[in-house]
Amino acid sequence: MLCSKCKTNQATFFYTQSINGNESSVALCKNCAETSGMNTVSPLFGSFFGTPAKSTRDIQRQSKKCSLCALTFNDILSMGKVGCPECYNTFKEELGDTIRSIHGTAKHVGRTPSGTPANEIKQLSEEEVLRGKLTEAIKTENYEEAAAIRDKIKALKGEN
Amino acid sequence: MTNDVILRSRVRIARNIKDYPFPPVLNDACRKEIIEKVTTASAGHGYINDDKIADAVYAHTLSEENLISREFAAEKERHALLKNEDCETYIMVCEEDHLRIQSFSDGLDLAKAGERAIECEKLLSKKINFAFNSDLGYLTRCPTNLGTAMRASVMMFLPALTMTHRMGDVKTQLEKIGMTIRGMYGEGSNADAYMYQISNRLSLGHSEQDLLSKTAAVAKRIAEDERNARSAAFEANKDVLTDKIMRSLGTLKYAHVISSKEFLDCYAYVRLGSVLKLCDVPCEKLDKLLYKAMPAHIMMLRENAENSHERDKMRAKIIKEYL
Repeated sequence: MLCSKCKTNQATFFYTQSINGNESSVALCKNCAETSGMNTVSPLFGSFFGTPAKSTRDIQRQSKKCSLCALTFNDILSMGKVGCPECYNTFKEELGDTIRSIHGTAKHVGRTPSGTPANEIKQLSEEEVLRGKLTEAIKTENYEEAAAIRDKIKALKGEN
Repeated sequence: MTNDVILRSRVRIARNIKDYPFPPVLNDACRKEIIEKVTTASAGHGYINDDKIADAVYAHTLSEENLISREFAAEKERHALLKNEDCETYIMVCEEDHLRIQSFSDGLDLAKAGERAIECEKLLSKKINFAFNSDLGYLTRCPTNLGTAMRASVMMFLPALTMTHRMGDVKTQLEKIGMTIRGMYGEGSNADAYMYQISNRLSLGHSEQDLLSKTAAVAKRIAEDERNARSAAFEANKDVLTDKIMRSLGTLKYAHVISSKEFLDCYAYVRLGSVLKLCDVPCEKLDKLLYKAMPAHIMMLRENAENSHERDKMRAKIIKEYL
């Protein structure tokens, strides 16, 4: 979607404004959002994706664009959400820690698309599943459950 | 009987189509293509395209019944809603994700709602290539929905736990086990009428079956706590509670003008009175009224009900006639 102000750049900042009770949606590009004095940093990004780029290296890294939706990592930071499925590939490194911190793991368990060749799907071993649950239990300070999971892992490995 | 505490189970699965940006980074032509793909993939399987979704008031009636999200009801860009003939499964097309499949069942029956939602997804996946990554699972606009992209949720009526100030503890315990609690209309909504939605917060690293069974087990546990809290609260404050319930019933039966907030407050007390067998209005009847008395439902019945005073008058009339 194009920016509703400059009509040139891709809109990456969306909000709803209410004037005299009339609500309307506004879509702006990063530049127009900043010149309009809008804070383009979503509250989500602080908790999910860390802080905006500061160093030259970070800025270089974040000028990288997704090949499908053309968003940069800074655009993702602004929205608090990614732009397309390809973003997960393009920004794999940048998003990895965030995903692990949200879910306690970065390994899918469950259904897969029909027709996907079995050798393309990494099936998790029972131990990997338990280790994921152990990480989550420790993170949530559920130490009783963590101890039980640790015992299950030991039993699985034939340890006492 | 579970509907004394648990009104409805819902399972939502998010899916996105490979090689398309997510809404809202999606132009109108792509939105049109996606809607056509979903319509074609579901054709001949009992799904109909609900054209009335373009009518904002109608869309909000569905949102008031929690059949679609509030965000989807307010969507300004091209979007579509498909539903099966039994109105048990809905497909929101171009919501936050390309597809959000929602299935419902009465009371606590996440297994049935989950089965329906998965059946619908299986049907669509025969014709549509969904975005998937072997590590991250199904790819979604928000990273919190990765993995199975499934939310198993249960709508619960928790007046006693709320009145006894125990919802903070419930919330803390739920957070610890990867679950969350929200208001009646999901994220960012208030717990009007003591209604809450309890659902899984994490979807990556947990199978669909795990999420369904864990949410059901937690809902059962909270329901037991609520029943115990009701018995204790009733024993301790019998007269005060009975008076509050009967006054609320009186307001619903005889008010000439009633706002939606006052209605929700009274509805909650009368519903509590119904499960405590203090009044003879069945929960099922009250729950139907819960939707009938909401603003968009009233506006669907009468055009000039856009005026809130007129709407409040009409609400009182609808309630009187219904009870």
